[in-house]
Amino acid sequence: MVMILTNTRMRMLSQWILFVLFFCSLILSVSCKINEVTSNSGSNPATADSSYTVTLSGLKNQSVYLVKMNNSQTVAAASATGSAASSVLSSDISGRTVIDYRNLDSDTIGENVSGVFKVPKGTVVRLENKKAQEALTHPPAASVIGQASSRSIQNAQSARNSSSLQATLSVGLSTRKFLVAIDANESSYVTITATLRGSSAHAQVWVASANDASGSPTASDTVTAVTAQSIADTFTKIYPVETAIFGYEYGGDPGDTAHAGGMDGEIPINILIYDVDYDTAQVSTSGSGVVGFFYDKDNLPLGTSNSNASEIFYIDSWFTVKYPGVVYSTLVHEFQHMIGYNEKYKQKTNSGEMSAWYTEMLSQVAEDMMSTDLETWLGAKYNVADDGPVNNRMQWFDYLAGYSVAGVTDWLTSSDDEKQSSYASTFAFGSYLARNYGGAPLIKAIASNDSVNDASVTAALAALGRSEVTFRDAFARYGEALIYSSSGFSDGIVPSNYNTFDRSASDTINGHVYSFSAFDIWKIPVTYKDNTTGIMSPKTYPIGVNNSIRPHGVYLQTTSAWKNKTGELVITLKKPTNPDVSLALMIRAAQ
Amino acid sequence: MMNRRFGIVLCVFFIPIAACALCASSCVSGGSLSVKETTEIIRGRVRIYGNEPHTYVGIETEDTSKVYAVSPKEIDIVIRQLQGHLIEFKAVMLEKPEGEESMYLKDGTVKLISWKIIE
Repeated sequence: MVMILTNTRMRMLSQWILFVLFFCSLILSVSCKINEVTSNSGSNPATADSSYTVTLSGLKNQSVYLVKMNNSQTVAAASATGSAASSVLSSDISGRTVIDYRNLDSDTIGENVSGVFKVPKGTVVRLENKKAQEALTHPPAASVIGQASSRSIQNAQSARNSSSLQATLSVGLSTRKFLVAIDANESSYVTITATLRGSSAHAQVWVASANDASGSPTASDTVTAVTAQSIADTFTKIYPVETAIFGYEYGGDPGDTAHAGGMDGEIPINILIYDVDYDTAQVSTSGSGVVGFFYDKDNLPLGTSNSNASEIFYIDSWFTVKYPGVVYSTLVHEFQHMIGYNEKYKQKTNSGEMSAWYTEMLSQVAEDMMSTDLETWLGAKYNVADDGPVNNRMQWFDYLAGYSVAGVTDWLTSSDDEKQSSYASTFAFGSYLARNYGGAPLIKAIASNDSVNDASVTAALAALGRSEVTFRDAFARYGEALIYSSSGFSDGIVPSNYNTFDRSASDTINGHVYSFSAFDIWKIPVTYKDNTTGIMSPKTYPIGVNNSIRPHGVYLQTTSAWKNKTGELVITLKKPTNPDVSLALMIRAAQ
Repeated sequence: MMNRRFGIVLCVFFIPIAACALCASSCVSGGSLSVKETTEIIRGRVRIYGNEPHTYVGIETEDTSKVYAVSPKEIDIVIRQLQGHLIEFKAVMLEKPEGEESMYLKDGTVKLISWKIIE
């Protein structure tokens, strides 16, 4: 009984002590918070869980945007990304006006979207594929490759394994057999026959029998010999320009005589044109499908994983006929994958695993970098506005805020829309790096160093003498490029200390001029399906809609109350609780 | 008498236990006794590797020192959805690649058993 009384007293005493401690901590917490808010009034940075107020004065018909950046590999939860809590607009149209954004957020779903959003005509929806594929990854170790290559030479009866045999190939006469998948799921593989229809110093273009026009086209996906030869000739022009920046495909390095010719012993690479995935009927209706691909399984010996044991990539026959300009750009894209596979995996075995975002970024940067060359070489057959990557990718970047669907270091594949957003985000970041951090020399440094992914970008910046800038630092300023462009300044000039897509870069390497053309992300031209034309700019989210932010993702917010403002705007921001998320208010001239 | 008792004990206890142990061993290794396997807890992030359209899923450990391919293939689509999270995986470490010759990353392949999202 005594013991019980004692325990009860002790329990009551301890509860009382706990209550007092809790109460004291509560008071301390509240007073700290009040002090923070008070001390941070003005434009001072805030501490955790605090609000702070920013005064934007001297606005002259300008618009304000809240830019959120998630500088991490992890999704930032919506609740931790901060927000614009409230604001006061003064000296505006009718004297002092107080605006509570919580009452205004439903007025817009995005600043450049009014009514029904029209789907861009997008000459072609450029997917490399539509479905997740089975995992096929690295080649065996280099020693095994060597053995396998020898076996493939002995086994291949198609005379593609030595330069002496190569000389016997005859355009229009020589045929060869290739293994191809019957659908996007690679349900099974079949052997098809193709005829050599184009040949040049660096390319052999094979056209599958089912898609071979033999001189005159008879269907929507039959390819003429003239087209095949044009592809071969163009690739030979591409080859020295692209290899000077990205390196060589396996067996392509003139200094590596031990592996000359690579898997198949041939100097030219092979390009097989056929109905990729056997979906012409579907693709010709939807306009969406695989234009071309490089597949690393072809670095395996014959008889393994359906390998064609060759330096080869594949191009779709329907796209070749319908959108030849896109196909020329795709040659550049797929060739970079082929080179990257050799340079980062075979030549530098310790460089790590290439993430999809990284290799797709580099392939799209290659297209970007060579779009001026293609225009020069091909004339009317290539139109940079329709066939180049800038408009194609940036339309999607802007379209329904594709930039926020996939982060820079994401690679989302659940739907075509997700894939398009992944392409758009990686293209945008690569083109941003090239235009703001070193042009072609930077891309060359990224492609040639011993690292991959974000470490490769950091190493390349250091190699160019910018060791003070890392991938993380470069990404931290990426948001600037989404807001600042020539149309955002009254004099049409982006100050040199602002990062932007609207800046060109031009460098001469090995006597060739490599150019990245400036473009205005707020004025991306678009042709809609009804053949009307328009201009796209980044779609923004309402101030009250705070979504999660993808890894290395960006999130833009504004409201009509922040648009076309003159005078002073006072905005109260709630600081993100996620330490990797940063907020910035950026201002540009009203459209 | 002792021998008979010993025989009964052997039949009743030891043989079933031994049989269970063999079965368990067989199940854990996916039916292949030639592959040595251990179960481990891995904290890491899902990454997508390779180029389109032949991308594949891997797990990069939290300290980024290791990258593992994921099996079985059927789980690929599910794991892709976990991009952007730090995850704790329970997995069987396969000593050598499973399946086709080309299906591995440099640090090998893991067979996933379960996982939970940490952040």
